[in-house]
Amino acid sequence: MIKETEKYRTIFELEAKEIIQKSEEILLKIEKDGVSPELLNELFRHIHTLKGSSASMGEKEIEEILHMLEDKLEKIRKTKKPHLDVQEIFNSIDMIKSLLKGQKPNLYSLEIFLHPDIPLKGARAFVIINNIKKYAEIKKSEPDMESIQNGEFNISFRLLIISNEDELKKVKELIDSFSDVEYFKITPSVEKIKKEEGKEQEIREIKIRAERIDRIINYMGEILIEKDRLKPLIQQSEEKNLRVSFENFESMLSLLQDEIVNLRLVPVKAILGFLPRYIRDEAKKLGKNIEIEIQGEDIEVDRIILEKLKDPLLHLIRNSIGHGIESPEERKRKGKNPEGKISIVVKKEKGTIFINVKDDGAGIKREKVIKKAMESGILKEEEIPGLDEERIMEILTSPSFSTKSEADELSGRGIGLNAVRETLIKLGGDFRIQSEEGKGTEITLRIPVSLAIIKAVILKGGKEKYILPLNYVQGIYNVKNMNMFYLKKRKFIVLGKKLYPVFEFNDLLGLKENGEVLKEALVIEGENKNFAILCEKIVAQQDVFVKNLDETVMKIPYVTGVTILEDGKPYLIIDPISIVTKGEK
Amino acid sequence: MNPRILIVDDAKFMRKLLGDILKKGGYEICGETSTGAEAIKLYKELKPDLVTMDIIMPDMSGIDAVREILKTDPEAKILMVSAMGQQALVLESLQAGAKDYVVKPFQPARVLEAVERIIKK
Repeated sequence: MIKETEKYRTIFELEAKEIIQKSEEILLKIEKDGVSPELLNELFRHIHTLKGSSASMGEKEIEEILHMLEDKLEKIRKTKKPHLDVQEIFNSIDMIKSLLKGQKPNLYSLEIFLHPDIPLKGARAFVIINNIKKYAEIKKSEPDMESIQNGEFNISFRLLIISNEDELKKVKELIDSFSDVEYFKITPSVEKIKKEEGKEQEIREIKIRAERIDRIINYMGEILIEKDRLKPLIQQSEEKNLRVSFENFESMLSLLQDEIVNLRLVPVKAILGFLPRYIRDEAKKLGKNIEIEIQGEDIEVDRIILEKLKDPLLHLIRNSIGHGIESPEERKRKGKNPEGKISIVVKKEKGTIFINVKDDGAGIKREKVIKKAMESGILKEEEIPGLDEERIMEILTSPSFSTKSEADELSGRGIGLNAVRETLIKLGGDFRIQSEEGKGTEITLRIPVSLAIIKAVILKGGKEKYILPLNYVQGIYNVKNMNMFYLKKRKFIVLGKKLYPVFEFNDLLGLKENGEVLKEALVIEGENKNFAILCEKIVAQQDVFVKNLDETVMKIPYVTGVTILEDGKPYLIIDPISIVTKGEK
Repeated sequence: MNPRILIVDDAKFMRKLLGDILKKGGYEICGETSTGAEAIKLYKELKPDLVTMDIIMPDMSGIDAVREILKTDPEAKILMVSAMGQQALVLESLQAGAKDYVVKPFQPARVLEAVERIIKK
């Protein structure tokens, strides 16, 4: 178990540092401007997050300090005129910092020499050892513990202890307080020296700060852009050697690119690890019993994606705890197991990660959703007869529905689903809700493994080029060969046994058409939606590097990012699903 | 306030001797008794900071008294008082949860050293 979590220590420590830093910033703000509910909440959230991950790492002391802090903040939050003793919180944070620093245990050999004429030397040794145990872990003793206790040693016994510097100081002070001890020796242990010799093996794992990896990925992106610009120039060259050499260079670069992108992958556990405790605690607060099952938490995902995914996931889980799973009494009445269940299953298929969050709660109450949607004007009466699941899900995730807090109580869902969806789309992902009233709700998140470099098609629209991620593209077809027809004035494509409504790319983007012939059809399969987009021309299919997203561009919901192509100019990356959703309205 | 100590020993002479050492060391003797059963009762009443416990007493052994006291208060701090050569009994009481021991005849410095170390924690 300990070994298992140690793998995540790096990410834990980095995250802890980040959180501490943020908390300190908030505290400084509070000190300067006074307490506000927002700052308190933010601080509380940070403390809560770190508590969760400390608990998962088995960092009991840190967890306890944070738990106390959380209690304190909780009380302050509830008072009408909140006052916060900033220094007190700083002190606690300092304690956590030193605990974090003191984590690396050191091995020492401690030899204790007792006075030759003391009575009951075995018992004396026993007391000394018991006291040492308060500050250090005893790994080994010479002679063995039983012999020491029985006094079966001449005048000295040796212990192999693990302790950090502070603890070691305390051990020294402690031994000094025994006048039965003639003298003692503490030396870094031989075992430690051995370990250092073996360090070549250990060094295979090194810590790299996440920002550094981000920088490397950025440089890699720049190199790829330059490479793409070089490519046409070199291909035109007469020099055969140059062309061959460039080809080799290109394939090496592609290998390097894969390796670099993998650097940023961390196990999903990093954000799921704290959940069992969190769910337990939250459920308890509501008087519910909830069992949690997590599968596939070792699957690795881009750290950036994982960070952004944390809040949406928490949202969904809070929904399940608060509104999905019923109270034990209600569950009994319904003939269900009084203990509810939330399961989270993570799966990886090719370049895509699926996270499935499922509860066996009340499910979404369809009638109430319909009623509410009609009241808020999202749904018209004539739509009701043919209302399918897809439309219900659309309603649930529409901003005008889900931002209303009443929707939350009514539907048992709703709150923040729009925010969840938006986050996922920005990550190039999607999500699907399946729910059966009375039986539970199942939400599947779909996200790419990596954000930095995506497989994409470049297509021509109007006079510009646009990028579409390939992860939803089921196929690209020549329009000439497609079976197309009209139904109620809408155009459809038939493929196999499926019908795909047809959209024109230029229309979706609001581009003026110049009567170009639409030659290509991209067939898209999303979580809830299947459709086809027609465009004039597919320019290329290639890996594109996603540049850091500019906030202003991100305000356009269907633009998920920017890339730079070989001409050195920036191009927009378009999410096909959200642009079609927008186009339908 | 000075830390309060309960002395348990069947010999009045020993109680006096130990009491004087402790008083000189700045401790308050809040009670004393000659039997294990009384010790358990007094512990509950007085809630002393530390108990000195003789190992061999007429009614019950000091070790059993240690076990009983620790049952009512797992945090109880108990210092065993032993005669020479009782290694096995001392070990048993330490394993039962006593914090330390002193050996008769007393060396005042040793007694105070042990008491101080226990109470400090």
